[in-house]
Amino acid sequence: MTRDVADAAVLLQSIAGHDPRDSTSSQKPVPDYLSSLQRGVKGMRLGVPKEYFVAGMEPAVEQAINDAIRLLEQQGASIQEVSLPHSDVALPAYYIIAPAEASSNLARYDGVRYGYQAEGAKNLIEEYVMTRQQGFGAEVKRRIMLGTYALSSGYYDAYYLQAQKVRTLIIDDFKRAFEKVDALLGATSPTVAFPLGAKTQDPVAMYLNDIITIPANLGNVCGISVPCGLADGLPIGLQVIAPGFREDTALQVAYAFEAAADFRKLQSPLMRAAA
Amino acid sequence: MAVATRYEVVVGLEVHAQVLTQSKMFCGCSTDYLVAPPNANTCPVCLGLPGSLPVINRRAVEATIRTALALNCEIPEFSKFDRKNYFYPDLPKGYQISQHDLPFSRNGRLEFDVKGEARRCGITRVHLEEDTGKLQHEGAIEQAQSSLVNFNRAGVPLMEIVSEPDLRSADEAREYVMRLRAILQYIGVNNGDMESGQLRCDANVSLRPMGQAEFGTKVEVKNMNSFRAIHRAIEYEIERQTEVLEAGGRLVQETRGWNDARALTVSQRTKEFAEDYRYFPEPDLPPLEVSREWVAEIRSQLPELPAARRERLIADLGLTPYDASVLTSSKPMAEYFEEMVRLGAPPKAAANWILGDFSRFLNADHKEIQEASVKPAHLQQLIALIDSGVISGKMAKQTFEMMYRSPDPEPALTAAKGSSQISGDAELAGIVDQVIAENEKSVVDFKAGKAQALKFLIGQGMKLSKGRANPQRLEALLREKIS
Ligand SMILES: [Zn+2]
Repeated sequence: MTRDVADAAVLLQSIAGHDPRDSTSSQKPVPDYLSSLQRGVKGMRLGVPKEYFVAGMEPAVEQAINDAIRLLEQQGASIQEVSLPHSDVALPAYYIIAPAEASSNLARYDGVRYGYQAEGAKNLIEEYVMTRQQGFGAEVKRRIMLGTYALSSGYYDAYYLQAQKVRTLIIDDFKRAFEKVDALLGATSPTVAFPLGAKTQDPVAMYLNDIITIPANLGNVCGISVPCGLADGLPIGLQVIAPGFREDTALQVAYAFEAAADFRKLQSPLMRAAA
Repeated sequence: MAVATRYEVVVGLEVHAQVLTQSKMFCGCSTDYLVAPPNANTCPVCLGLPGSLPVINRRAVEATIRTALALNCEIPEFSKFDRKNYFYPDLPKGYQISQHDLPFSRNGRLEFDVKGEARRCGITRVHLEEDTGKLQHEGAIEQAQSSLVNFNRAGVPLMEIVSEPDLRSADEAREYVMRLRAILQYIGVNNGDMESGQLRCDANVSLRPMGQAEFGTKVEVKNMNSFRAIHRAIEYEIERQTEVLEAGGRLVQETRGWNDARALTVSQRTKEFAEDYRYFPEPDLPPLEVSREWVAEIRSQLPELPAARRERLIADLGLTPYDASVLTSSKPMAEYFEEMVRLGAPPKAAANWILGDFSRFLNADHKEIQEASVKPAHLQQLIALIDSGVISGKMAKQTFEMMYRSPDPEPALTAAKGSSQISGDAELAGIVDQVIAENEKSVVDFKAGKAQALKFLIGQGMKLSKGRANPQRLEALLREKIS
């Protein structure tokens, strides 16, 4: 999103805060993210969720994350293992909730007022069906179908409602963890980037890549990803998760890591070639 | 009707009432959709453009809570909006923001009466949602080659008032809606206009054998645009369902539309093809906390409601329960009546006039009382003319019709006052003689130069003539006779 953590802080500073046209945006005052950036991690308590070292994690990724944790420890942070016991059900819960909302959010693309409109439809139903069949890509259609199914009468309680209950468990996991630590550390993804289209035929394998970032999406927390190494020339991300509305903490930890690690060394050979 | 008595009629009503707010439910657009050119009152929010988000109109929520309080509902502390998902060209987002399982209110009741007998109907809930746009088909919907859509109405706040299945006849259903409409008008949340669709009513009608506890198969009847249509459609449906059951048939759960011109209901959709609305909490709006202070404040601002006004008219003005019910069924009518009484009209006579010829004319013209040229003061003066014997009842009826038919009722009223006036000197002479004979002292005073005494004598003459004497001629004759 940005070249470095300071830029991320500048960007967040300008977009954070209440938006009168967005009722879901917080009314809380926005702190000065830049002023707290350089405070370092000395004396900070950082937690490492054991569940974030998932099966199937690339050894090079695991190595890079462990190195990053050690570096932060050298900077004066105290490191402890923590547990987020419901991490394994975050992914299935997310893939119910997000497609459910997406299926409804995308209903407005019906060809009536704007966007793609199929030609040759003989009646209203045909126009809807053809427009949406032709206009959406495979992944979008898959999510619309998943979401529509999860919200259908008779399935709502078993899927959508159940997923929302799981979400509450995930929120509670984070609450408990943040009683002990100021921020959490983990990989951003268990593997480095895979070739475009490699997992299209196996969506579940593709979704598994989101397994460590999804809990943050559901858990009322905030997170930031910073580069922490390379595997086969591809970047590895370190994820810092802080409690809700503690973006200042997440930025502070990420900045300390970025400053301690020699960021230029982490540049991909691909990027160097391009430069 | 013999067969109907073997079945009990069960009716529940869903009334949709547009909330009288300046701006729409979730954006700042004007709600004035009837007059504005097509699609003039729209914005990215009510057009459902990508990236737009809803912001709740606090006044619409307030109006809903006010309505709920007037209907004796409970107001839960927590409420939320949900999405009702379905596709239709008049629904820009592909979902309607509505309320599903946590509406603003529930468990209320509405008291009304049918031909003077008290009735009560439970109110399941009052919730808030957004109205849809309106389609305009090129010709009949079945043959239309194209349809146009106007989004001016899309996003106008709409309350849904759902009754319990407590109504037992078409009469009860009609009275329920009339009373509900009056309440909505009294508290200023809806203008009660059924013809333009600002107040709409759907009915769930079913039959069950007398004494049976469980309900029969229900049929939802839509498209009823007047009290009369509600009554006729339910009557029709009772008859139709009775015939099916009597013939040993089974009813299907379905939606039927009332066709007023053909006076029958037509099947629109059966349960097999019923929509699955896939309700879920609206993620773009946080749940609402309805503070007890806010509810108390809204409650304290409630005006006198029809039931209370009805009691007052019976107790203080001596009206019959029936007259009081009809008068209070419309806020403008009740206000018209009370204004007449305030001006000095006897309550019973005022009620008779309003509920008699006046209502008959208004109904025939599809007009409301506040639209009539005859104002409370006019009718009060007309009644005074009858009471003082200036005109007969029969003449008053003719005069009233002339007043009603004219944009300015004054000339007809003045003519009535004058028509029976005694202007002829021969007739007036008798009155003058009598006044002089009976008021010797005043005559002496006047001769002594007291102008005030003449005024008194003229007054006596007017009294003797029951107001019919032409005051100018009377004065002239008195002056002539005395001096
Ligand atoms: Zn708008």
